[in-house]
Amino acid sequence: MMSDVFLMPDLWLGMLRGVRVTIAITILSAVLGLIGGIVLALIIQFGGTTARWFARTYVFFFRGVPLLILLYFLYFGVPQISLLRHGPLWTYLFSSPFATCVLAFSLNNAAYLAEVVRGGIRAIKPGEIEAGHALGLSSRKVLQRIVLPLGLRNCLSGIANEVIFTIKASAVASIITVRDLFGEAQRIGTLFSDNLTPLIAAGIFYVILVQIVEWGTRFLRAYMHGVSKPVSNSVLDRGSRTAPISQEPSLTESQAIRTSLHVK
Amino acid sequence: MKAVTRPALTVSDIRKSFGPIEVLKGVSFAAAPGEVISIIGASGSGKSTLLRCLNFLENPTSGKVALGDEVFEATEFASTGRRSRARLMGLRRRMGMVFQSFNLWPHRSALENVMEGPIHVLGRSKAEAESKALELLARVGLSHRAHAYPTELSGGQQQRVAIARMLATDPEVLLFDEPTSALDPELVGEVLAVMKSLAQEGRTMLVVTHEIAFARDVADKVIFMNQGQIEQIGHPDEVLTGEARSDSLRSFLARFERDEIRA
Amino acid sequence: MLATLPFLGYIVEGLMVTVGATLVGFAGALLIGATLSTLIVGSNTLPRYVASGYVTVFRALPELLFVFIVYYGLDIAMRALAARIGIAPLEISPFAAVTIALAMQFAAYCAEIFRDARTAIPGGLIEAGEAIGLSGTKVRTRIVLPLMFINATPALGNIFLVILKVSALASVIGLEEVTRRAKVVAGTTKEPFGAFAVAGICFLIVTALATALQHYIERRTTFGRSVA
Repeated sequence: MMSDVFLMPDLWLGMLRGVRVTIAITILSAVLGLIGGIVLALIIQFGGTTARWFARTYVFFFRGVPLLILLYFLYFGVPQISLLRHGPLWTYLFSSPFATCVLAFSLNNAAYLAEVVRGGIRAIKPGEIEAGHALGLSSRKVLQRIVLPLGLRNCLSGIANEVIFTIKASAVASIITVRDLFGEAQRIGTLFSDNLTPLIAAGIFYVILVQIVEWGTRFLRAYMHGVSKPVSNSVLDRGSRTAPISQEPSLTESQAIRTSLHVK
Repeated sequence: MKAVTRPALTVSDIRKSFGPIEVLKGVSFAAAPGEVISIIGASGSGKSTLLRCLNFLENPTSGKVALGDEVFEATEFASTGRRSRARLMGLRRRMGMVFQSFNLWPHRSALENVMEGPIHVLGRSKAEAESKALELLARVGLSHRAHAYPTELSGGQQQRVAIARMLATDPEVLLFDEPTSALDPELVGEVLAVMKSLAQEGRTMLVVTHEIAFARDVADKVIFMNQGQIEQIGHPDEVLTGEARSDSLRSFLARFERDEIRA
Repeated sequence: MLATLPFLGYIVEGLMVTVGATLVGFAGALLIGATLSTLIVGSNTLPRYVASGYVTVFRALPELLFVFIVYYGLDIAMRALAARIGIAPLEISPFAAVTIALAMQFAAYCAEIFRDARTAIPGGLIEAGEAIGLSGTKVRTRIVLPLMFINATPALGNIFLVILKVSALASVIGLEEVTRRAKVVAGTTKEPFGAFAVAGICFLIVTALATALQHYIERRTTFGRSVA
């Protein structure tokens, strides 16, 4: 029943168009989200009381609100503010579904990545930072040369998880008319009056995209460590280390776990 | 006198292989009722495996274990038939075991750890199990910690609870698998004291240990294991200081003598 | 902004549907996940491959996409069935489609959580039970299952919160939950800002409550371990 649509070149051409949009949204919002996440993590870890409170509140808000509502809010709600309906912010951001999507995903990613990066920074051995200070490096240099490189390296798999979740979550973009992979699948479905087949085709693309990210992460880790270590295949990765009972008194490591598992 | 009573435990030609590696190469000995046997030997000599083969946590490849008159063949628990399971449960009830890493259940208090056996193995009532458990905790000097969880206890306290838990099912033979090896040095004494009092009570005990002093002072017999075999067995004086000692036993003991001199 | 106020109750009532779909989906995910995890750790090769394939695919599929696949798939199946037995096809309920999709998708995560919770139990604790003569069944019910549950609680709590948020996607196939209602209100009042803000706050409140509950459960199950 689905085989005839499966063989149509239009389907696969549409998929290829859509996958480019999905990849673009993912990369842009992963990069912007990571920058935001690093800033937030540094504030929460090293900032003053007020700044910390703001950063924490940000993380609470953007992790608690479903991405779809955030998207509706930015796309339909914000333009209601007449002040925003003029000027470059309107022209380049809120009037464009694509840009609004990237903004929403970046805001959301930043909240999640803040926790991921913070976990990475906390995993740095204090001695390694002290060694930098002992050498006479300035605080800024210590941050640049030691804290960030080590911290990011520690949370590579957390970042990879976040990228995977962005790939999946980006399907929501189609709801505000972006023609991403999922949007294309829906459009083609209507065109051929077969809703199911294009969705399955798109599903195959999503599985491949996610696999590519996982292979990439594995390669990167192997490259960084100089040897190829077996890398946990689990999306839950850090999260799945469910605080082994009795071995270590760390049941309430759930804090760390809570940060690492998130689908939007 | 001991010769006329039948042994509490008879071990006959126990062999155990892990793949191509033979860890136990035919071990036989007997323990008379009330006898305390210390098993010493370098790590990898097979002494822990031997202990685990006696209550079939590890299935021996061949050999026999007899508790009193009841004989258990090495291979009879390899299958998981209902009857053989029941026989295995019976065997394990009659043998108690204390582990190197305590293995107290972390989600149960000290008291609940000790009550587990009486309720779920012996089928006692809760009230009965509780009074027995409290008695046993008093016996190991931990009445005041009955409601503490394992993580709230020191290593020595945990091991004493583990001893109480073992005693709760009224075992005939007590197996100790390096009971003090995981403890900080200052906590070793309290556990050894409990073990010593059990020995004086006339319990049949098999103790795998690195505590040469315990072997010398408390044990009736010492077994020295080397490369999966009993290399020497006899009275502590004979094995630990006698003239007939093998080279490997001498060099094994030399390490402890050095340590003792240093200490 | 004030135009949203009369509809406040209408939006908030949608929480019943949101939480309902979340709970049913979560329960289904636990059930399927537990089954999958026994297959994954089992010794049979074929079920093991099937189960790990399941996990790979469902970890990668967008939730939105799968909700639609289930919705359309059920519809097609219903039509085929109706044609066969000669009745008019029934309408597919969005609630059923969404809960089935959530359960199937998050079962993949639950399976991994259960498997890890099981492997995190030190073997010695099980041996200790065997050594005092507990039967196999008793070892499972008295030691393995409680410890597994305790180990899995934090991660499962997480999954619950994730399902809660993902359930907002159900609005797209017409489930009358918070998001959908907010959208309807936004259309009526022409005040999307207020309507979606209310919807967002609804989710934040449920998230905060669920988190508090989880902390409570975790505190009750610390068993003497210090709470960081």
